[in-house]
Amino acid sequence: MQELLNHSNEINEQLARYGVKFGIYKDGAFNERLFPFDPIPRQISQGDFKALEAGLVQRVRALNAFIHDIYHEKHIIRDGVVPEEFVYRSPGYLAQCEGATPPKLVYSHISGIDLVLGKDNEWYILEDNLRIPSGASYPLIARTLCRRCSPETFQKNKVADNRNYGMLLKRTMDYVNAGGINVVFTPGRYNAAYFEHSYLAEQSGAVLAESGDLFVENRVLYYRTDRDPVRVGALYRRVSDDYIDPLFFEPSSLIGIPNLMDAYMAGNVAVINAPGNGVADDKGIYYFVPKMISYYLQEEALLKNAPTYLPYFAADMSYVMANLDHLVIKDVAEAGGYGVIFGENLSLAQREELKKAIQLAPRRFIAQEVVDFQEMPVSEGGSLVERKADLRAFVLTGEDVTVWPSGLTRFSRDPDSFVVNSSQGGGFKDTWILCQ
Amino acid sequence: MDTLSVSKASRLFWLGRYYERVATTLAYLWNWYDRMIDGAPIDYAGFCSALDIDCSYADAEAFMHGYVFDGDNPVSLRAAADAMLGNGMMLRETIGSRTLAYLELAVSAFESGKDSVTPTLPLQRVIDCIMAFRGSYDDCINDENVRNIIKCGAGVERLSLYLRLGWRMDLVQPEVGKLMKRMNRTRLVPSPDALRLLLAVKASIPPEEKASVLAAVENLFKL
Repeated sequence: MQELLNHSNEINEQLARYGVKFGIYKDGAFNERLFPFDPIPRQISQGDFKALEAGLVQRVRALNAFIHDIYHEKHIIRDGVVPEEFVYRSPGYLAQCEGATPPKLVYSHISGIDLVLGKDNEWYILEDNLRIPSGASYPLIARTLCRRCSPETFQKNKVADNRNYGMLLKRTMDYVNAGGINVVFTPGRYNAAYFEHSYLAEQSGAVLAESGDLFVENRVLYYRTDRDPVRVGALYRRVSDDYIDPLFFEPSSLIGIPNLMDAYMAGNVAVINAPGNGVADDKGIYYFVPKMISYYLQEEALLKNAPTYLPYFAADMSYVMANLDHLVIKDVAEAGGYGVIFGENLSLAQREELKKAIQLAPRRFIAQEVVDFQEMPVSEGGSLVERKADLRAFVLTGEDVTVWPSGLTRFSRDPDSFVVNSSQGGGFKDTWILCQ
Repeated sequence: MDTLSVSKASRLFWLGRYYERVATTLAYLWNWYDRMIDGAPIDYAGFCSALDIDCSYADAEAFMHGYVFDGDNPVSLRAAADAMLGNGMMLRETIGSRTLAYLELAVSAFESGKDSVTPTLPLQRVIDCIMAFRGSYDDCINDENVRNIIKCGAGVERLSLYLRLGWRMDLVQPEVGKLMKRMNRTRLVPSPDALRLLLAVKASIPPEEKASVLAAVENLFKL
C-alpha cells in the first residue's frame, strides 16, 4: 500500500480535476466539497466475497419478494410474520402503489446494503437502502484514478476490476426497459449527489434529464427534444418518492414529473427503483428481514443483522428500558446518520427523556447492540490512524441478481464516532475484491 | 442519441458564451496588468461602461482584483468561470468527463490566483485550460449539432465583446461570417430580424449603427 500512499497528493489532484464532490446544505446555503478520499483500500478476499455475495443476493431476492407481496396479496401479514403496523405505519409505505406491478417484477433494481465487519470477523448488515442508494460512482472513479497514479500497485495486487459498473447499470436498465431510451432523472445541480447522477449517466450511456425535460402524454413518458419527443423506457430516478409526481404525492414538488405514476402504473415505463420501496428499507422492517428470507425463500439468512430490539414488543421494550446505556437507538424516520443516539453518550436526564419518548411512540424507534466493528487504517497528516468504517455493497437486479465486485467503504474522520456518512463529515475508500 | 433537450441546447450555448467571455476578456486585460507595473492609467471606468456593468471600484487595483477574481461579484470573470463550469457540470454525459475536467482545472487556476502576487501566471493557466477545453470538445464530441451550439455561444459572446470594446469592423465582420457557418450546422432557430441585419454587416459601418448590430447579436438566439 505504500505506493498508493506515496501518490496521495496526485490522487487527490485527480479527484479535484474530475470534480468528485458532494453537496451539503448548511445554514440554508449549498456548498460543494471534495469527498475526502483515503487511498488505503478495504481488501476483501475472493473467498469472503463469495460468501458475502451469496448472502447479499439472498437478501435482495427476499426484499424484492416482500415488496411485491406488500403491494399485492400481503401473505406475509396474513400469516403473521410481519405485524401490519410495521407496514402501514411506515412512512415508506405508499398506498398509491397498491397493485402496481413494475416491468419484469423488479422493484429494487439497485440495492445499497450497508454492512460492518465485526471484531469476530463476521459481517453484520446495518441497513438496507432500496430507494435511491448513492455512492457507487465514488469508488468507480477512484479506481480509475488510482490506477493512473500508481500503476505499480495494480501490477502487484490482482484486484477484480470494478469499472464495469456503468455496463451493469445499463444492463439493468435495458432489462426492464418498457420501450424507449434510458434516462437518469436528477433533481438538478444543487442535489448533494449531483456528481454521481451526471457520472453514472455518462458511464451507462443514459441521458441525464431534469423535470422540465420530461413529460407524460397518454400515459407514456417522453423526453422533450429539439426534434420530436423521444419515448423513455427506463427512468433511473434520483428523486425521492415524495417528489417524483406532484399529482400523486407532494403537490408542491417542482422537481417531479406530473403523471409519471400514471405512466408507471400502466407499465409504460420502468421506474428505477420502484416507488414504494421504502416500505422494505424502513429501520423497523429491518428486524424482519431474516424472517422474510425464511418465509419467501425457505432458507436461513446467510448474513446476520446487528442484534436488534423492537420496543413495540413488550419483551424488547423491557430489555431496552433496562439496557439503554449500552444500546444505540435509531429513529426509524431518519436517514443519513441523523437520529442515531448512543445511550452511553447521554446524561441521566437525557436518558430518562429518551425512555419516555420510546414509551410514547415505540414504533418510532429501534434499539441495537453496538456492534464492535473493526477499525480500518486511514492516512491522516502523514501518519496512519484507526477509524470506524462500514461498507455499502451494491446489488443490481435485472435478469439475474449481481453483486458489484467493489463497494463504497465509508469511514468516520472523528476518532470517537461511529457515524461514517459523508453528510456528517465522513470520507471514503475504494473496496478491493482480491482475485486470489 | 442525435436529439437534444431544449434545456441542454441552452446550456451548451451558455457554456460557449461563458468560456469565451473569460478567455477573450482575460486576453483583453492582459496588457493592463503590464501597464500597471509602470503605474500607467487604465480606463476601467470606460471598460465597465462599455460592458454595461456597475463600476464601484475604488481604484484600478481594486477593479483588477474585484472584476477578475471576486466570485461574489456577479459580473466578475470568476463568476463567469463558475457559470461556465456550472453549465459544463450539467452536460457531463454530453461533453464527457475528460473534456469537463479542463473546466474544473480552469476554475482551480482562478482560485489559486486570487491571493497570488503574480496573478498573471495562474490566469495564463486559466486561458490554457480553456484552450484545451476547446480542443477537447471539438475532438471528442461526435455530434456536430452539439459542437456547433457551443461554438455559436462562443461566437455570439466574442462578437458582443468585440462590438462593446470597440474592435474595428473589419475584424468584427469575419467573426459574423464564422458564426453564420456554425449556426448552419446546428438546429438552432435564429431570430429572422437579427439574422437579416447580421447578414448585411459590412466591414465598414457608421459608429451609430454599431448599437443595432450589437442588439442583433444579443437577440440572434432565444436561449
